[in-house]
Amino acid sequence: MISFGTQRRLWVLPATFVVAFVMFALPVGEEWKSYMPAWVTLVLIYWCLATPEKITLGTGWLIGLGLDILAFGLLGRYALTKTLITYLTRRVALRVRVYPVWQQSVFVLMLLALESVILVAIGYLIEGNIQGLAQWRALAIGAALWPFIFWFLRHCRRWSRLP
Amino acid sequence: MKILSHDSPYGLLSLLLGSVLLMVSYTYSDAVRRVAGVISVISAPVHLLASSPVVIYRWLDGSFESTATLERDLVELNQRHLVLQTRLHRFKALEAENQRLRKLLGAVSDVSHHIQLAELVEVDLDPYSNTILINRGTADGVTSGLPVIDEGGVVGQVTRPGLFHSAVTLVTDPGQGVPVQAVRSNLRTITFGAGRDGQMRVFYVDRNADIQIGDLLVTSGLGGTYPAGYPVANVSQIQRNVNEPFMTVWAIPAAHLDKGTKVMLIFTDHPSAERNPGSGSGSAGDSERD
Repeated sequence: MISFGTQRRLWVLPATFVVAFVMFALPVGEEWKSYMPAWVTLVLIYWCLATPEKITLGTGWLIGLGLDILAFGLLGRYALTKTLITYLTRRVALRVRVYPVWQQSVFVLMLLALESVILVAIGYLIEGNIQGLAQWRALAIGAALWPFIFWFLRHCRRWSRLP
Repeated sequence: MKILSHDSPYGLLSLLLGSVLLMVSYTYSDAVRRVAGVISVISAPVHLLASSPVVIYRWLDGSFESTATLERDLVELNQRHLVLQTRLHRFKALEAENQRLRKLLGAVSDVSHHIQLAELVEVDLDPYSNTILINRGTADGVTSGLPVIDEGGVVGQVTRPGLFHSAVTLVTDPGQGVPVQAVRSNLRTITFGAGRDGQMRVFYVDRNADIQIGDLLVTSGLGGTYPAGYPVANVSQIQRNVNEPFMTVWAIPAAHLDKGTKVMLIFTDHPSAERNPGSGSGSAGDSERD
């Protein structure tokens, strides 16, 4: 490993997740709620693609559990979906990260849709009613925002001197 | 150069299984829910950060208000306070008379309630459910199932109490049923959230039932969760289907679900167990008996 004699800013990676957590809880009101993309998932996908060796399955699970606690909801819901997303993204990371960004958007859209379907299904199994179908708008917005998030987080990564 | 090794499917399976077990235990075990409520304390800093834009905006908005506006507000509030106080005196006399008559009839006397104020924490909890966060938790005596109202009417009930904060499921949630009674016709039904546009649906209204647009629905007290007599919703739309036994009725919640910042928790004092109001809450200042 070549060392440039400069310190890596390792705190940047957790910090981006904290920002994503805050964005998740940001009050936007009833009518805009269904437009808010899944920030945590987007950030998780980015780090899984860029530095797959830093994000393990256990990290994904813990991030999901943190989101469960933050949402005051059913414990284990987001833990399940985030683990699955970490696994799938890490599996194809080396292939997908050389794709052009718009093709990555399609990949991101599929992952976001998968997560939504799982969350709605769990809600149906536990509560007995289907909720969150309005979230399809958030999926489209999440995929559309992917190039910007990719660009922003790449700057963060380079600035933090992570590989 | 490090070559990325694939995760073993066993690791994935064990974590997925762990998540499922967590969900099942959370659903069925009270102890797990209590532990989760205590752990939820760690989410407070994130909630604080997320709610700070709204809090700062309100603070700025308040500090730029002119003295004249504040004085006018004060006069207006004082007048309203006077009117309400007068009405309350009459209400108290009526309540005493009601108790006396109940005793004469030998009926069960009405249970008394006391109220604790709580504030909304301005965060969005979860896009997949209709919940809000309030700044009272199990440390203040909040338990699961506690009814929550605001000045307009019923907001919902506490579903996931944490240590210092609790999640309240709104009456507009499709899983939330409220037993109600129409004030005008004494018709008893149940409302459920419609899951969209903040509307509610009124179920099991017979084709020939006496219901009109604008009817006020108040809690009927059946079911035991909500005390009787609090406004829930106003009927907004009625569709009579000739070939179906029930009508399709829509209603708009009476509570100011998206505007209010303060809500009230209703504690029921059982007459058998004499409970000190606000005991253990440490905030007896804002609890008050009605």
